[in-house]
Amino acid sequence: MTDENPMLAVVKQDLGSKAVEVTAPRRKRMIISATPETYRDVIKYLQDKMDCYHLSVLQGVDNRTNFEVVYHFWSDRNGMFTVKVALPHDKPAIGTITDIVPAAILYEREVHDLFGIEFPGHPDMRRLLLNDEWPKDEHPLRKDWKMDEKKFYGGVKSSTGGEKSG
Amino acid sequence: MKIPIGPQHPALKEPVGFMVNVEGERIKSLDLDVSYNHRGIEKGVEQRDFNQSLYLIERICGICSHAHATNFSKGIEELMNLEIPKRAAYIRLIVAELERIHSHYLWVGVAGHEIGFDTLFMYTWRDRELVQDLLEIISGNRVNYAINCLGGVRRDLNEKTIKLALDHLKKLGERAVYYTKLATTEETMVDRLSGVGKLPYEKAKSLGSVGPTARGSGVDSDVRRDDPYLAYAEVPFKVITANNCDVLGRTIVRAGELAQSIEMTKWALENLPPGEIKKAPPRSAPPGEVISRCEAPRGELVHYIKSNNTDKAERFGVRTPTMANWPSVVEGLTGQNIADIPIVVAAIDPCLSCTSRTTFVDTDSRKSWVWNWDELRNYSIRWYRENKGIYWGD
Amino acid sequence: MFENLVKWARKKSPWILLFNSGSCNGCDIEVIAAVTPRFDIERFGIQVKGSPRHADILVVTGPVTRQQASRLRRIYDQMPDPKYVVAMGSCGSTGGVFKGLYNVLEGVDKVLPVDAYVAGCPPRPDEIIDGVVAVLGMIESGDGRARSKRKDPIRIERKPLPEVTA
Repeated sequence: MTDENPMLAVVKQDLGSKAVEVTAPRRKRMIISATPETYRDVIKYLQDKMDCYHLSVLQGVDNRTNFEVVYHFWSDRNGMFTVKVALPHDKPAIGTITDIVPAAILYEREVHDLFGIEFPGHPDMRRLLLNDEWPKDEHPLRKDWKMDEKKFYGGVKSSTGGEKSG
Repeated sequence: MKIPIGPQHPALKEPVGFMVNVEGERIKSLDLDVSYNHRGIEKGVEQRDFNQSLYLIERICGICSHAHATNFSKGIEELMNLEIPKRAAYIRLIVAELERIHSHYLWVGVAGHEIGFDTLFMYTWRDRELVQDLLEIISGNRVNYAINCLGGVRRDLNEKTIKLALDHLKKLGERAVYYTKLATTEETMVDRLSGVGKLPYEKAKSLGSVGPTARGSGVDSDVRRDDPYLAYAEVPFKVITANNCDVLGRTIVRAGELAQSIEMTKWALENLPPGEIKKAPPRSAPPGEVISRCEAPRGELVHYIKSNNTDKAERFGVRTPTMANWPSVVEGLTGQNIADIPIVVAAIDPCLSCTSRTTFVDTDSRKSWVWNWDELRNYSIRWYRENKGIYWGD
Repeated sequence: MFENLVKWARKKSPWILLFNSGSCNGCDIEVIAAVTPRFDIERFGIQVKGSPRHADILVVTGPVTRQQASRLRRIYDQMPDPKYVVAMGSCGSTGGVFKGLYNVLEGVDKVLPVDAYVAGCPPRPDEIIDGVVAVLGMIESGDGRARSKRKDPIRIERKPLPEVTA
């Protein structure tokens, strides 16, 4: 796409060292990489100065070497801002944003269920999508997850108690 | 007392579980369980190539299936730097607006059914059949049309189809005027729907509501106008908002959008540019990431796609509009009456059959009981008849 | 097809219970479309009911997700005999497009004994009526034999039901 994002220079200057990298693939899209220490400041900046009143979604990504939590914010005037925060593969955790962004309440539960990323401070961290019988430490959207034939994941039990049912 | 509402609904979409804490008839708090429809599609797309994924993604939801397929196709096309021919963009737009028409007709019928107005349900679904016929002639199937393919559309429209479509749209337009008047000004409807499920403007924004739920509370945001895709930058249309901040507001918005969509489809059919309908896409997508948004009938739909130089997606994330609207249901029902649950849940147009068991727990009398949706709906209709005199006699 | 339907309906007006076990809703709206004026199965006395205690035929849509398996079984157990099960669409028969996904059980026959399979994605309302008529034929002949054009109709074996979690 050849069209430029007019806010790119402004954002780069305003955020300074808080953002690890700022790119704009096209008009109305901007990607800001932040660290677990600075992401809240970046989000507050987007809400106050860039008119990002709407959290579209927050999602998890497994890059095999690390995890990422991506926050997509939308502003009618300035377009979509994606804030990415990289997390280590071992015990990934990032503080909740439900105090500044109430809309995040269900999305953080979903990421926790599917990736195992912790969100300390979340008011109500329960399972959202997986059933109660699903083993507690198995997170299906991780790249290295494979279904174990001998375990039971909920639903219908076979005579051996595992997955292969008759 | 906790009242569980059971998981089937004779008239609708997917299962949702409710756990309601009540005091007498007032709801103290409401909790939802949305896991019944979780199938594991995001993982499935990582294992299938783009063409196979398209079939899977269409079936995330059967009512807005074209929105999902279009969103995915345009995301992949953006990654591949592929621009589709103009005629294809117009055909995608026509099917998208026809889908919006069928979805809003469906909704008006369902809302009518929830409040006991079954005649409206039958009328709107009968008229909706005209739209289904059109979709079948254009694409080959009444639901799950699969008109998209990477690089364009699969089938073209010929002169006869266009003429038939314009004919049907004229009939639909006349009926739409009637339903709009009925839904927005008829005294009994207005009485029944206003003041229910309140969602103030600030809450609508901060809870992340989208689509007619947000526009019914005055939030002026529509992906078709703010982030134009396909041919929406060229087609003239208005974004409908309402300031009622309750279920009546959402009804007004949907009725207005119905009329707008009929006009847009007519315009697009009359101004369909000639040309090719598809372009051959490359085999794989270069590494990158894209956020693809579109305005599904229920609101903003977001797909986040990452590619890695193969013909499979590295990560595919979906956020359906219904997921974004659940917090507003909780907000709209807290402190309200049990009798309001059916219509407030139906008002966000959940792309989920809201037919789960609802568990009720009364903290006063320490009783708890389970209702299925039919029992809750009958309770609601009876309550409104006895306490407010609102009844259609169906 | 309709003459037979009229014949059956005179003898018995089956009431249908629709259960969505995780489908995309396409099949559900086609079943509801069968009730509305264009197809209007209500004139034959066939009604879509909300409670299992009033239903003769259980129509199941969707590839059964793990969470719905036990509910599906419970609904089936609550129905009074004689009861029949129709698996709708390609999802209900074999899992359809959702085959291989981690949260689906791939077909209603993994949880319940199925009497009729209706093909399609989704089946048209007329095809759904055809499936219901086939079940009515079974009700009439009373021996669980599917109404088919083969000279030696297939007898549906009822295997013992697998255990579902509560």
